[in-house]
Amino acid sequence: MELTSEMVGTLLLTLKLASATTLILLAAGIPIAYWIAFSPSRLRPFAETLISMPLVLPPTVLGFYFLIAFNPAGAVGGALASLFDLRLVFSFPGLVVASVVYSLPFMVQPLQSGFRSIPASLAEASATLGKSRFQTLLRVLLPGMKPALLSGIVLSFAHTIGEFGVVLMIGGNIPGVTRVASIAIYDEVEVLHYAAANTYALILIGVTFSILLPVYWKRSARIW
Amino acid sequence: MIPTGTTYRISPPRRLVFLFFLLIFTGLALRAQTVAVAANAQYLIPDLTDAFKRATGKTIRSVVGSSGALSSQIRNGAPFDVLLSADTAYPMGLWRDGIALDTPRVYAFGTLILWSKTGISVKGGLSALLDPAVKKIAVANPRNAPYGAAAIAALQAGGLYDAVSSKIVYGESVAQVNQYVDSRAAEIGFTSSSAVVSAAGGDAREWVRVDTSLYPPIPQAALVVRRGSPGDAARAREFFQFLFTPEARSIFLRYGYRLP
Amino acid sequence: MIRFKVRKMLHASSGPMLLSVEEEVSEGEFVALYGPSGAGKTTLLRMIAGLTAPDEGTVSAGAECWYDSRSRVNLATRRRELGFVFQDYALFPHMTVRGNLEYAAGSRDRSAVADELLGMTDLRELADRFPGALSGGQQQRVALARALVRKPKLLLLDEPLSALDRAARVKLQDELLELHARFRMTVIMVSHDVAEICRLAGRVLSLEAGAVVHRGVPSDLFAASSGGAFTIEGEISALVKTGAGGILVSVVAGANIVRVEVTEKEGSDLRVGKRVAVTSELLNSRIVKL
Repeated sequence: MELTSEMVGTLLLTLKLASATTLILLAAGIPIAYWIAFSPSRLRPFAETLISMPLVLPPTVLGFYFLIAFNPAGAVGGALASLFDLRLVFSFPGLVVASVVYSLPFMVQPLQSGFRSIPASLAEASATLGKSRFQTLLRVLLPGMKPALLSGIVLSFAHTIGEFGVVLMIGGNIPGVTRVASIAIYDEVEVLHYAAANTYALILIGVTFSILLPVYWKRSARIW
Repeated sequence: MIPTGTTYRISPPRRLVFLFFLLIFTGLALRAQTVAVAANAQYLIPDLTDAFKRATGKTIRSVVGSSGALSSQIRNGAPFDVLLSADTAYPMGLWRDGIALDTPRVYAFGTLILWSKTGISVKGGLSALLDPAVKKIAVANPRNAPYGAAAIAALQAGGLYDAVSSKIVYGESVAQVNQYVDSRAAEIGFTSSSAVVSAAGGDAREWVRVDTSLYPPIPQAALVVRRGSPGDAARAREFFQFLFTPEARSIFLRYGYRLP
Repeated sequence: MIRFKVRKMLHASSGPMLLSVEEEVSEGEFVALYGPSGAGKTTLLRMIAGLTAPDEGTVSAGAECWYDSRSRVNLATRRRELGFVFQDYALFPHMTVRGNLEYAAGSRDRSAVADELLGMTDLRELADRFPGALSGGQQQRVALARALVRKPKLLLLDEPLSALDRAARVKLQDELLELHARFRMTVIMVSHDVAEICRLAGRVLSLEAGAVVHRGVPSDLFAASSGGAFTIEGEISALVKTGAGGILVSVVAGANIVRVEVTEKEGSDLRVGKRVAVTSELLNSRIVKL
């Protein structure tokens, strides 16, 4: 197994994408999951459905619409380009945005069941003690659902590493910018560099195994 | 006691299963020949197969992909009978490894095109890339797509590579380059003539041929895959040979290819 | 003074039920809400706390309006100065006993306040334990102490002692009496333990199917609830059909078994394990002190 500096760069980029995506998902996922878990709104099933859709839709659906929406000639892409000089096609921020949408259910669903697993009386008790919802969230709910937080973080991270279709469609395969490990494997296989593809693949297997293991380890530890 | 004979009786459910497999196998045996087509040639393949059908009455199915992906699939037993590659290297590799029935043969030379749909004037050739409106340049992956390699060669020969390399985004094949250019995600891109000639190409003001002196020729070879029965091989060869008839050659010309 | 006049449609398992209660509780009073389960006691308590919204009505504490459906006032629970003890205690499992109290105390001299209450409720030695490591009675004391950290003028107790054994129950009743004497807060407590109500409450509201059916001093109420009858509570241990077309019901009350014969019709919805009250009109005892 030979590890070139290009491979290291690609792997680091992959980890960078997964980390950025996970951080944003954590920040966005907590309020979304909170709303879904506790809101009496009638819109809730629609929101839940929308968030779950990346689980079943082919990534190409998302990739296709991102390509259409985010290209600088399109409405959204044009506005972003002229207002912030931001391009979401062929750029790292674009991959982050796509990954956030694509991995959303992997963060929101564990958090949602985490919120629901906490007895309602705990949040109510906190309210009777004069605490705001935000204080309750921070001090009572989140500390009470650490396993759910861990699941959400790990699953989003791992799922982003495993992302392929969306990146293939809107990434542009730029080394150091949008060429992540999954794309690199595809490329290497296509030019018959099986050894390089194997190196990437083995590293991904190792990385994902070692980040997923703690989640399930913890689960079985709690059962026994 | 030694049984003198055994009667094999197929029970009704087994008979159904048997029938099912029989149908599948006969279906396979009677199937149309399949041609694996490099992305750049996908636009002319309907014309080509129509012409073949008119000439022989036989139907050809096509599968489109990058030459690299298709070759890799053929190596791993994909049910393709003929490969129309975008280069000669992949077909030669298959031939060397005994996967091709005959030596590959060049059916056409590709023509590199510079194409934009965002109103950038391309008539001046490669200098269009220096237009400040150009933020992204779509190029097929030079590692596996001949048109990508030709584009990079042209940029280097034209002395523009260093100036524009940071703007290059790589498509998996010319098909993805076309998709980037057509959706305007990239302002400009290097593609094959067939793409712009076909309906996807559209307006003639949007594209220009890249000076052929700037890049090495793009010979595109075809081959017959070694697989199936002698009958299959004969049918595959029939289509392969059709590629070199005047009728097929006129189609290649019409889509901007040059002929060997 | 706590004043409430609330109406709410409840959807119980037995169908829709209108909960409609109007009452005033004076400052320092200890009021019990009594009645069969499903009568609306807990919902009433939650509406006072702001944890459940009434359909219409008003809730006010002194001059402060907490809820008014007409002027669309609905003060958030956290702004209503009250303490609430939940049936399941609702202790924060990831905080120690002291942590639970300090969290309630907020920022201002929290450890001093926590210390004071830990001492008062005899919890000092358990201060660094987590709720999971406490007995039911101990958890209940922590819940009570936590509800009192902010020195609320109103304390709401939702069947606070129902899950405890008799010894722990009596001990906590003592403590509750002591704390009430000390802080003089208004207390509203949901309970179906007659003895407990008689011991603690100065007044009892008896709810049935969403409405107050009796109100008064506990001793009078329970003594008079069936025209001077004697009431004991217990659990049905056996149902035996008698030859005369009736059912002989055995009720375990404390260490005694009482047998009552009822007609088949009366006994049709009685099941073994159900809690019932047995009133005897033959006796005319009037002992209520327990």
